[in-house]
Amino acid sequence: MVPALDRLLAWLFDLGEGGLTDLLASAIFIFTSMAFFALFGQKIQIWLTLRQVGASVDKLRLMRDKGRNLALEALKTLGGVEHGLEEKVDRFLEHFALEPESMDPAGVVWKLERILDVREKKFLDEVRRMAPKADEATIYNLEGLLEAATALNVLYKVVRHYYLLGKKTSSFYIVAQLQMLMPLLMKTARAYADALSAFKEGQPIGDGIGALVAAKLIHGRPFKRLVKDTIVAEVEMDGRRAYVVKAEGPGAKVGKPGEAVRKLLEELGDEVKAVIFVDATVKLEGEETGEVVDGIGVAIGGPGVEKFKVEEVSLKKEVPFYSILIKEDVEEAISPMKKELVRSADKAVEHIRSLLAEVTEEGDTVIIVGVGNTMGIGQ
Amino acid sequence: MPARTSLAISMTLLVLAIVFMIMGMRYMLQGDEVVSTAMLAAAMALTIASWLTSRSVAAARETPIIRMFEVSTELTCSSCGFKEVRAFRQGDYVFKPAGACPRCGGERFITAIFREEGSTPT
Repeated sequence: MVPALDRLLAWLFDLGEGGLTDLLASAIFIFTSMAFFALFGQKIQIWLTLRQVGASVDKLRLMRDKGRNLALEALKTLGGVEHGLEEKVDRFLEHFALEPESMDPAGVVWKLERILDVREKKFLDEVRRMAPKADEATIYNLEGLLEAATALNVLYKVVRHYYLLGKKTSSFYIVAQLQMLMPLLMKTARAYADALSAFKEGQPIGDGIGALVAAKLIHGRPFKRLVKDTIVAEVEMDGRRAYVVKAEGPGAKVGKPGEAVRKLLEELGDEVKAVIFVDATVKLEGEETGEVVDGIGVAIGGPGVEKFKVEEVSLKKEVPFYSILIKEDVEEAISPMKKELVRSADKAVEHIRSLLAEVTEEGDTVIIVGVGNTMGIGQ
Repeated sequence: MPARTSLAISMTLLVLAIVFMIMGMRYMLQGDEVVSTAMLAAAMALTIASWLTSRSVAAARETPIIRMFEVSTELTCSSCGFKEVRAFRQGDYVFKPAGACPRCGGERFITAIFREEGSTPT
């Protein structure tokens, strides 16, 4: 039977001597490979993806540890008590703030503002206790440093959670989603890691470009504190009376620009013909860092409380809001300010002048707000 | 494995792959059966070489965990406009008074603090 089958197959496939053995061996090899990849293909893919994500998780852990150590170093040099400092920093890094309930959204902004104010005060008090020799500006810088380290800690923990969950469940879809998001998450982590040295040294960061523009307008003129951490100066600009608002530098403060505008609009009434906001904005890939663009609306970033305040008052007072935005990358926003951005501050001042010429007349009153973190920028 | 070592190994494998390929072509012209073995060996050597090269290139491109930037401080005299750029010192901030101008004796201020880097779009 077998020799007959052998002959038949040899005739069918035109095989020579020993050809059937080769054919069978090839068939077994092909089918075994197919079966292996059909059964274990996804497992191999999960293993490879997990390896890749695992390397990123390790990098995130190193960034988190570096951030923690930098914060510890900075606090120790500023008189931080040796005993128990590490525990205090670790406790700080695990700190959280719960958002207010928004099932009934009316009034949620004020609740959020209250939570943010309490959080800021608690953080600053904590830093004051950890670094008793630090001056007020350095306290704010250290708070920024610890916030960046906290953000790295949270990012690391969340990514590690999904990495371990993917490993535990062997779910390709959890691991694949994490792998797809990894480049963006690493970009965010890189931004926070770059912020560490800037906050430690108290150097101006990219986000401070709005504050720098305002500082250029204010410099050399008397100013007063208008609301918490926020100052105002009266400046004459091309025949217009401009009230220039910025956070009080040089500590890492953002102030309350929305509250300041609201107060000024209430004080000055219908006198104000325009409010101009100058702020940094995230550029799209391919756009130039430091590009200055004009627009309409309230350019105040963050959780939205300050923007809400200005928009609320705009319903009562019919004042037009203009914005001048300076483009930069996310990584540039919280790392030391680039030279291109410093140069763009002068361009932004020119934009303000031309905007004033277009929308106001000589003798008018305007409000100019430099939005952003004023670390390393005085007035 | 250090990037330099893996690059050296990949270069050796590349040379080996070229030798195998030439041998395979020679066998092919002679009608020898060893042709497939030589070509398979060449393909394997090429695969490993390219994997090692990509690894070493990625390792070379890798940025440090925490980047430290070279930050400069620009001082400008408000009277004569004389500018001086020096390395950033802790405590510097924009519009901080920076003593007398070495040229005219006028008042100097810190007018900019910046890091220098390429301006190409990312």
